[in-house]
Formats: sequence, C-alpha cells, structure tokens
Amino acid sequence: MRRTSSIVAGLETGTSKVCVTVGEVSGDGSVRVLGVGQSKSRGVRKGEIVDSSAAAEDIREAIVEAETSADVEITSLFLGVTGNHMVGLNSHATHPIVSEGRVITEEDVQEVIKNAKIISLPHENSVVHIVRQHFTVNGQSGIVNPAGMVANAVEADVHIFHGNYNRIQSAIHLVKGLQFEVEDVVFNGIASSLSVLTHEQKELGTLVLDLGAGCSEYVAYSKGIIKHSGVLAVGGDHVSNDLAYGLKVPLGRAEQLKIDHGCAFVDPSTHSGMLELPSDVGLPPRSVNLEHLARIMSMRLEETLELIEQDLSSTGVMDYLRGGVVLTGGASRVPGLDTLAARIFRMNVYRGRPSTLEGLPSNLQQAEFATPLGLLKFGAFRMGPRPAWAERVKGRLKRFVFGRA
Amino acid sequence: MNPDPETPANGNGMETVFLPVRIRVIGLGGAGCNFAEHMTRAGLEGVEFFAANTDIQALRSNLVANKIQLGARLVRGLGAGGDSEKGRACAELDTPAFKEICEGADVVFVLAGLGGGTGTGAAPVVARIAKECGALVLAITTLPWDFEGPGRRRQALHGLREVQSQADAVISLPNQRLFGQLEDHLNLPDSFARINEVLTQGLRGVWQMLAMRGMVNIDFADLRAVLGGRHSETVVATEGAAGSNRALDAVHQLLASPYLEHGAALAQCDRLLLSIVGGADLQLGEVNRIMEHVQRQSPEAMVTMGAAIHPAFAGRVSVTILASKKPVETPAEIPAPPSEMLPPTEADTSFMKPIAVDKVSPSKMVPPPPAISQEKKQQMFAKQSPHRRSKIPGKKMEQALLPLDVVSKGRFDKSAPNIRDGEDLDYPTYVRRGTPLN
Repeated sequence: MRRTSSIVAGLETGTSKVCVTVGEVSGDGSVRVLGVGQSKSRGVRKGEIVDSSAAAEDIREAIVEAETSADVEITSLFLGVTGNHMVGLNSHATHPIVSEGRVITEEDVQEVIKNAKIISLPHENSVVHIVRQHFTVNGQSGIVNPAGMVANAVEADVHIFHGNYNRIQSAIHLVKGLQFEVEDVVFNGIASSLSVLTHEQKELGTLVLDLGAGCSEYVAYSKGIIKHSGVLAVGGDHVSNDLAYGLKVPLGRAEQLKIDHGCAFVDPSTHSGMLELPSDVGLPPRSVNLEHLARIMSMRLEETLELIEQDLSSTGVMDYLRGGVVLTGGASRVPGLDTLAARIFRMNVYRGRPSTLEGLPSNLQQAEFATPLGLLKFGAFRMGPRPAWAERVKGRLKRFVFGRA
Repeated sequence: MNPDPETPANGNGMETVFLPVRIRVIGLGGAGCNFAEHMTRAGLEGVEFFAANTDIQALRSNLVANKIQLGARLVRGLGAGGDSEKGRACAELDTPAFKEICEGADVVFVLAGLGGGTGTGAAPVVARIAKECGALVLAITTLPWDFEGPGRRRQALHGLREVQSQADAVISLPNQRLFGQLEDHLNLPDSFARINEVLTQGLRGVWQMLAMRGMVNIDFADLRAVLGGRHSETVVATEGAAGSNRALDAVHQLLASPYLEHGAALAQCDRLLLSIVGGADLQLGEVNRIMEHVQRQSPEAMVTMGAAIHPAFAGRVSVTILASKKPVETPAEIPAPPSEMLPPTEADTSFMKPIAVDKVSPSKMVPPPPAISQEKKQQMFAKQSPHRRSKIPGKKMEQALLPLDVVSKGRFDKSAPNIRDGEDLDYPTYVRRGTPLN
C-alpha cells in the first residue's frame, strides 16, 4: 500500500448509501479518482445519523472497500454534512483601516471576514463554512482581492453556512471513533456544485439542485459566487415512503416500483391499468394501479420543487439564474423530472453529472456520485500536494470558490 | 392592514352611486354571518345581504336583515356541530331558498369561515346553486388558525377545494397569516373585527370597481372576463395613500400587504384587474408609475386597468388589485356531491350515512376505516337500535367514524417532524392535499 500526503478522501454518509471516494492530488492541483467504496446506509434518516452503531459499521465497510479498490491507506477524510438544521445566509461586515497610509493588508481582510461571521446564530448552531462573495472598497463593489488597495474601510459580503453544532459533532465523533481524522466538514450542496458545475455556469448564474434520498440541497451561484443555499429535508426516501403508504406495499418494493415505473408526471397513455406484482413468499400476488403510483410520485416531487422554488423566489435569486437549473443526486433520475422542474422554475433545466473531475470512469459519472466526488475536489483545494505549493493552492481555492479560476 | 375608517366608500363622503350590477352577499355559518353583519356596516350601497345558519340562536342575534334558517327539519336550529356533511345536507335541503336569492343576481358573494360544519358544508352547495342561476360567484373564505388543530384544517382545506371547483373565484384568507400582523395583546373581539375588516376590504374592492364610473372604466364584463369560469384562487387588496409621493406609497403598501402574500401572489397570477381611484388631481405620471410597478411584479399577467376620478379622493389615491392565480389544474376532479348523500328524512338518524348495498368497497380516500367487518358493523348497529333498521329498507347503515388520525408516517415515524408552514412534510403529499385515489 502506498501512503502519500497527496491522497485525499471524501466521505458522504447519505440516507441511501455511504460513499467513500479516494483521489490523488497531482502537481497542478487537479485530482484524479483512485477508488470508490460504497455500502448501503442503514443508520441515516433525512441526512442525519439516527443509529450510530449501524452507521459506523456502514462507514467502515465503505472505507475498507475504497481502500482496497484504490490500494491506499486512508487516514483522514473530508466529511460531507447535511440535514434540516443546515442554513445558508448572506452576511455583511465593515472593518475600518487605521494603519499608516491606509493600505489594506491581508490581516485586515481576515479581520473583516471575522466580523462578518458575527451574526446572531441560534445558540446551538455553529458556522460550518464561510465563503467570501466579494469586497466593497471605497464604495466600489465586486472587488475580489482588496489587499494592497488604499481605503478608509473595507466591507465584505460573505455567505455563511451554519448548522446544529451537536449534530455535526456527532458525525465527526463517529468517524473519529473509527480511528480516522476528519480534515474538514463540507456542506453536501457545495460539494455537489463543485463536481457538477463548470466555471462558465457559475459565472452565468446556475442553481444546483441535489436531490438525495433524505435531503434536497440547493446552491445558487451567480457571477461566480454563492448567492443562496438551503436544505429541504425531503428526498427520494419520501417518494418511496409515500408509495409504500399509498399503494400498501412494503418499503423495499415501493423503492423498486419507484425505480422501475417512477415518473414525474401522470401520463394517461403510459400510466393506466394495473401492474401485477410477483408474489412474495407466502403472500398472495398483488396488483397496483399505475396511475396511483404516478399521481403519488408526481405530487410529492412537484411539492418538493415548489417549496424550493418558493424559497428562491422569496429571496429574489431567481432573476440571477440565467444559466438555469442543474439537477443532480440520485433522486433526480426520475424520468420527466427535468420537464417538471422546467415548468416550476420557469427556466432551462439540465441533468448534471460530476464531469468536472479528470480521468473519471464512466460508471462514476452518475448523478448520485456528485457529492462524494465533490468532496474530493473540495479536499484537493484544501490540501496542497507540496508545502511550497500551499500559497498557490490557497489562492486557487479562493478563486475557485469565488469563481475566478 | 388598513382598517381605515375614513375610506371614502363608507358612504359619508360620497354621493349615492348607481350600481348597474345586482350584488348579493350570502353569509354562511357562524363566521360567514358575522362577516356579513360586519359588511352591512361598511356602507356598500346597492348590495343585498343575507345570513344563513343552522344555529338559530346565533342567527337571531345577527343584525343582517334577511335571514335563512338552514336545515330546520334536520338539525332543528341546533347547529351542525362541526360536521361539514351535515352542513352540506342542510344546505341541500334549503336549495329553493337559495335559488330565490340568487335568481337575477349578477354577482353573488359567498362568505364562509371554513373548518366548521355549516360554512364548510354549505359553501360549495350555495356556490353551485348561484352558478346555476347564472351569477358570477365569488367566495370569500377564511381558513382556521393553526391552533384549531389539524382535523379542522383538513376539513377546511377539503372544503376550500370543493368551493374552488364550484365558484368562479375564491378569495381565501388563512387566519394564521394575520398572526404576525395582529398584536399579541389585542383582545379577541378586536382581533376578529380585524379579520372582518380584511374580508370587507375584499368585498369593498370589488364593489368599488363596479360602482365607480371611471375615466377608464372597469365594468362587470371585465370582472367576468378576469374571473369567470376559472375556479382559481384570487387575492384582493386595497391600499390608499396621500401626499406628494402617494402613487409609490400606495404601490409599496400594496406589495407589502399580507393579502398579496407580500407581493408574491402577484408573481403567480396570470390575470389582474387593477383599479385606481383618485381626485381630480390624479396625474397621468402617477398612473404610469403604479402600472409600471405592478407589471414588473407580475410580468406574465394580463392586466386590465381602470381609473376613476371621485371628489371624495381629492389629494389621495386608492389602488385596488384583484389578481387571479393560475387556475387549479383539475378542478373537475372533485366530484359533485353524490346524490345518496342527501339527508335522510329522519331527523335523529342524521348522524348516520346510508350507503347503497352494492357499493360495499369503500372509497380509497384516506384515512381508511378501522378493520371492522361489515357483519360486525351490522351487529353493533343492530345491538344499538334494532327497530330503526327496518325504517330504511334495502340500505345498510354505517356508523359514522370519528376523524382519527390514522395516517402513519411509515419510515419517518420516529424521526423529528419536518414542519413547514404548519404542515408535516413527512406525511404523503397526496394525503395532506386530500387527493382521492380512485
């Protein structure tokens, strides 16, 4: 087994699967995927760990598989987090420049960012990310790097993600209990957007909608910066649960029905009549009404997208999204979902795949790997391959997240 | 929120207007009658008010001139007891009375507080009757407070959908939306008066459009074109402002108005009726500014504009917006009240629904009944009152069920609820929206 400092690993404890990705950061800072490990998730509901012993087992299994397939030893991981408690908001702060000559230094920049972090969070929450949007110097907004400019004061706009401290810590604790280090926690929505969006899409203004099994995360970019983000704890699991309830079938079968016959619309031409189900052991054969299936699914999906659209409309970011909406995540594979989303969001909708990584085998270019692969990309920008490159990568990370790559 | 007593529509500052349209307002149930009573005091000339209730006591104390006691034979003036089926049955019984009222009317307003028995049950019936008489039917309804519980809320939402499928337009005000607007220490009568005032504003807005002869006139035909046959959710708001910046002030007040969902409703609507009333000093520039703002808010809407000059509005401007949201896609899905739901003739058996023998399979509408076999039901019923069975031959009696919350959250049973706008998103959407699977 090799063990080098340029190995980066990401862990997503999803609601349907636990996924570990391993990559190698090359000299120019790009990341090459070495291996992937997966296991079925049993301890997670709506993106949050509810059964820690089952989750720990699944994580271990996935890590072992990833280590085997990549032939490396994983010591530390970037951990993706999500859940209903995660909130993204914009903040603004000002810092006066008092030094001789009133030249803005790097310390001033750090200071103003620190100031922006001082917001009234609920006491149980803590900040996960703080992402710079842009700076305002001398009344001129849209400045990317104010260091070196002369001004009386520097203002910063930042996007802050915060979440319940204890819930995030318990996920970290779980991973640490397995003797792995957690390099950093990453909001799943950001990870997905990193792996799915191209630089042009971020500049143009695009919404990434990651529909997972337990949670739907969304991140809106405009002019290369994150404008808005959020989580709705409704996902593919809810669709399955609705089907199980409405069609009176077991959850596993509902899941399979969703995959085989799922649709975002009620289409009378294809969704009519009954579907015969093969009998389970000891159970009489059953039949389900295909129209009911489509109706239950379409109502849930429509509601989910509408709730997200309402949130975006209320904050006014819809007008900035000239690049449309990119759907990703496992639950986005429902046929017709793009058409439904186009109707609700009233803009172009694309299906996004994690294609911004190099050397990706085609079996990994699937919507459900958007988050774990995005974690690698996030990790690659965090970890410089050599210390001498640290500065360069830091700059690159900055530029990447703020869209000036 | 503008319970402005000075609104010139109060009659004091205004000459008698000639109203070419016959407007009838029917209040249904306790809340509906209260709304009607409140509106009679608003001084809307040429509008006839009616109050209809199953509860004779409440009806007697009501000040509306024309009163109808609903279902006298069925509930004997004792109220519907929160059962909308009973409310509906009462209204069906009194169809002739409503026909008489609606005959010859151009616009019929149906007022009801949804969630209870009489209002929820009777509103769709009255809306249907009025529609059959050829009137344009606008329903003005409230939805219950969250604290009244999910059962009442569900009944209200179901009632709302039924009203929507019958009336041309429904102006629905969730009481809960006013929660943030009302001060906490406001006493109960004042809070209710505030709600009454809000609904009155809706009525007044429409009345003002029809009653005032404008430079750019809005008449009944325009109203009909915007609302007729659309079965859509509609919002109405009126705001006025005075001073040098009155046009912008009025628009900003409108966009901040809770009735327009803080402006969000405008973006969702596709037809819009806008009436501007001002004094002789109303400027073209002001009209332009108002229209510009409104059109920016709802770029997709087809806007019909009206402007009227009235001496009572000297120095100020009042803007009324009536916006009709994109119609519900399948209003026809709500079945017309099935004929077997007609009230039984025996007053004291009204709590039981007769069902036809051949229609054994229950509807797939949730919540499902508890697992009791038909025989068991019969047995239980026979034990209770054996002699009554013979009175209605050929029909099986089904004991009415208490509205128990039997919907399970399945996989999410033990997890933290996912509350958004008072709804738990973990429950299947189609259950929460009351969509029947049939």
